[in-house]
Parts: sequence; structure tokens; C-alpha cells
Amino acid sequence: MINYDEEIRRFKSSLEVSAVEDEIVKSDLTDMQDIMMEMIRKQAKEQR
Amino acid sequence: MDTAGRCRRISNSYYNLGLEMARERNLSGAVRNLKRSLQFNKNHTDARNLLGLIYFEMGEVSDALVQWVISMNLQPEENRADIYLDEIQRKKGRLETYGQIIGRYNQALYSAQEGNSDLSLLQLNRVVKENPDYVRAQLLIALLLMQSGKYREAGRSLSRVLHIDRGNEKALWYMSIVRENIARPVKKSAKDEKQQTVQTVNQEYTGRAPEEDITMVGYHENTGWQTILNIGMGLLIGAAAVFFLYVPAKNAQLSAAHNADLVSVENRLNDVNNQNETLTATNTDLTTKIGDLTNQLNTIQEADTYKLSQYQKLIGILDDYRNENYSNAADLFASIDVSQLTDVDDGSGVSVSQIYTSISGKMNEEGYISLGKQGDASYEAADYKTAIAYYDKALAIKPDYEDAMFKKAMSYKQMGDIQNANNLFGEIILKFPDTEQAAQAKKERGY
Repeated sequence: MINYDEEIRRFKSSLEVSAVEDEIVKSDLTDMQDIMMEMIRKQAKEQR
Repeated sequence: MDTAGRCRRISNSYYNLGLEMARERNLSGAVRNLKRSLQFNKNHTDARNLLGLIYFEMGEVSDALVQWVISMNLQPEENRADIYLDEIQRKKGRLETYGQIIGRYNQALYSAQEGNSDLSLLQLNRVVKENPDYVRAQLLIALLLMQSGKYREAGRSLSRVLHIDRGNEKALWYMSIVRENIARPVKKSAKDEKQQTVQTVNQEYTGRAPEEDITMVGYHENTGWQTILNIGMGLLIGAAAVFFLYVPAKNAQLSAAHNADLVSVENRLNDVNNQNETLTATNTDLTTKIGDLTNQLNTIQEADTYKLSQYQKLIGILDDYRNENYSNAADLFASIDVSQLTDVDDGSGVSVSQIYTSISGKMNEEGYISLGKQGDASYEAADYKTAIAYYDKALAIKPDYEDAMFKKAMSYKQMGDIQNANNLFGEIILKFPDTEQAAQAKKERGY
């Protein structure tokens, strides 16, 4: 049985056009390649 | 294979999966896979651009802008995101419209979460009217309608969502609830139940009630002959339409164009005629003015010549005086027009009027006597015509010179001009009655 009030509360607002700039600034663009490279660098540092 | 290469390979795999899902209109699934693709390779421009396109398709314009702007930052050259951004920004006010739609949705969501379902529905209906593909708005409408028991109407919104995004899990879940409620068994006969089931399936599939379906009527199978007959009739109707509608209209158009040309030519002709009349009038006026000015010039020239002639005579008088030729001086003095002699203040100190005054005294006292003597000499030489001329000059200087007048009359008598002679004799008798000349005149007249 669906709980309508709960379901409505789960809805999220859309990103406003005026907030696009902030969203771009806040975006975390770290990808798996960056993470792997960081791990490799740390490992190499520890080995030294 | 190195780490970077493996990451790129995994990213590509997720991108291909996302692309395949996008082609099948499973947009939610495509979004999930494209996000994973970017998690493995943030520089996968195609994945990011496609993610932006899908967001845009679902009405999330701001999310699309975020992805495209990041894409342009990571790859400024040869990037299709540039085209997408340009497309949105090219039409003035388009971005503002999208912003207003999103703002209204957020307000509607706030109203719904505050318990104002009716107000929220009103706001959401405006939102989907402007952007029917706004998935979140359609889902919220469906949920609010389901809450109020309007499952059929909710089903329409959900159908719209699933038409845009077949893999939308929330829409699929809501649709299952809608189906469950619409297909709730009602105690009916077996036949009615079967019919009801068929109707329910139809409604679920189309999202419309049976009465709303459009039925095509009036369609019949045609035979070959009927087809040929129909084509022939069509051609005839077409030809008739050309003859009765197009040709008269074309003729009227040509006639109107011809009339317009004629009016234009006539107007130009009138203008030219008016200009010609104006020029002719101007020409006549100028010719008249030229005539007037020529006459004025001639008059001025004649006056100047006459004036110069008087100065010439004055110089002649002075010259005769210098040479003691008083007879000629008196002759010139008698004919000079003193009114033409005017002084010019040119700083030379010479006064023409003073010169004339200085000689006029002597000429008035003695000049006429000298002229009378010259007349007498001519009279003695029987040159009566010359004698008359001298006597006239003497009379011009001294009009009461009765001896000159008498001898003039005698000269006329000698020439046989008795009338002029008698006139002069009569004048002498009247003007100088007590003189010797008057007595002789009476004698000549036979008194």
C-alpha cells in the first residue's frame, strides 16, 4: 500500500536555471582514473 | 593494459550501454549507465553530452546545462555541446521560459508537500501545458491524482511519462497501482466481466476511455474501375477549378496590373505636361523681362549719349571762346540743354555749372546779336534756310528779339512760305505792337 504523503515528500525539486553556475562549481569531477592514480602515487610513496 | 586504458575501456562500455538504452527510450537506465561512464572517465565528451540531452528531454534543463557547460570546459574545440548551448540561447527569452517552468514546478512541489494538493495540481497543469515532457511534473500530477482516487487521469500522465522514458521505475510502479485500482473486479456476469477486462486492457494501454477513442467511419473498399473513375473525376474537377477559379483570377490580376501601369503612365504624363507649362510660362516671363531690360538699357544709353552731347557742346563753346569765334560759341550755346549738366563731387574741384554760369552771362548779352548777324549774312546771300536756323538760335537765347523774328518771317516769305511768314508777322504785331518791326509787319500783312 502506497503512503502518498511519504511519497510526495520523496520528490525532489528541480535545479533552478539561476543555480546552474553554483552547481557547476560544486561538481566533483573526480573519476576512477584520478582515484587510481592517487592510490598508485600513495603506494609508491610508502614503498620509498 | 595500463590503468588509464582500462578506465577508458570500462567508461566506453558503460557509454555504449547507455546509448543503447537511450535508443530504446529507457532514459532512466541510460542516465544510470552514462553517469557510471563518466565516473570512469570524466573526459568522455559523448557520454556527458548524451547525459545532458537526456536531462533536457526529461525537462531538466538546468541539469542539461550543467553537463554541457562542463563538457565545453573539458573540451572547448569540436564539441557538439556548443551547438546545444547555442540552440537554447539563440532564441531570446527561451532560457527564461525554461527557468519559469522549473520555478513553477518547484512551487507546485512545495504546495503539495504542504498539503495543498488542489493548488499544486493547478500549478502543475500549467507546467505540463508549457512542457508536456517534464517527467517530474507528470509524475507528481499522477501521484496527486492517485491520492484523490482519479486513477484514469493519473494513468494518462503516467502514459506520457512512459512514452518519454520507458524505464522510469517510479512511473512503472505508479502505473501498476493504477492498473490494480482500475481493474478492481466487480461482480458481474461472465460475459460482462470478459468485456470489462478487454476494456480495462485497452484503457491501460492507451490511457483513454473507450468513448474517447476515435473511430474511422465512411471507409469502403474500392474496385479498380471505381479507382479509375475517381481519378478521372478528380482530373475533371481540377481542370474545372483551373478554368473557373484560376484563369479569371489571373485575368483580373493581369488587368489590375495593366490598369495600374496605365494610371502610372498617365500620372507621369500629367507631371511632364505640368512641368512643360510651368517652363513655358517661365520662358515668357523671362522674355518679357529681357525686353524690358533691353528697353531700359537703350533708354539709359540714349540718355547717356544725350548727356555726353551737352558736355561736348560746353567744351565746344569754351574752345570757340578761346579762339574768339563767338559766332560758333553762340550757335552751340543756343542748343545746349543746361539741365543735363550736373556736378560730380569727385574731389577734382571742377564745377561744370560754374563754368556754364560764367559763360552764360556774356552769351545772353551778346551771343544772340552775333547769331542775328550770321542770319543777316545768310539772308543777304539768299540762303534763307540757313538764315532761319540762325534766327531760331538767336531767339532761343533771347525770345523777345523782335528784329530776328521779323527777319525770320521775311525769310519764309522769300522762300514762298506765306503761311509761316504771316503767322510770324501776326505774332510780332501782337507781342511788339509799338515797334518798327510791328509797323513793317502790318504793312507786309496789308493792314
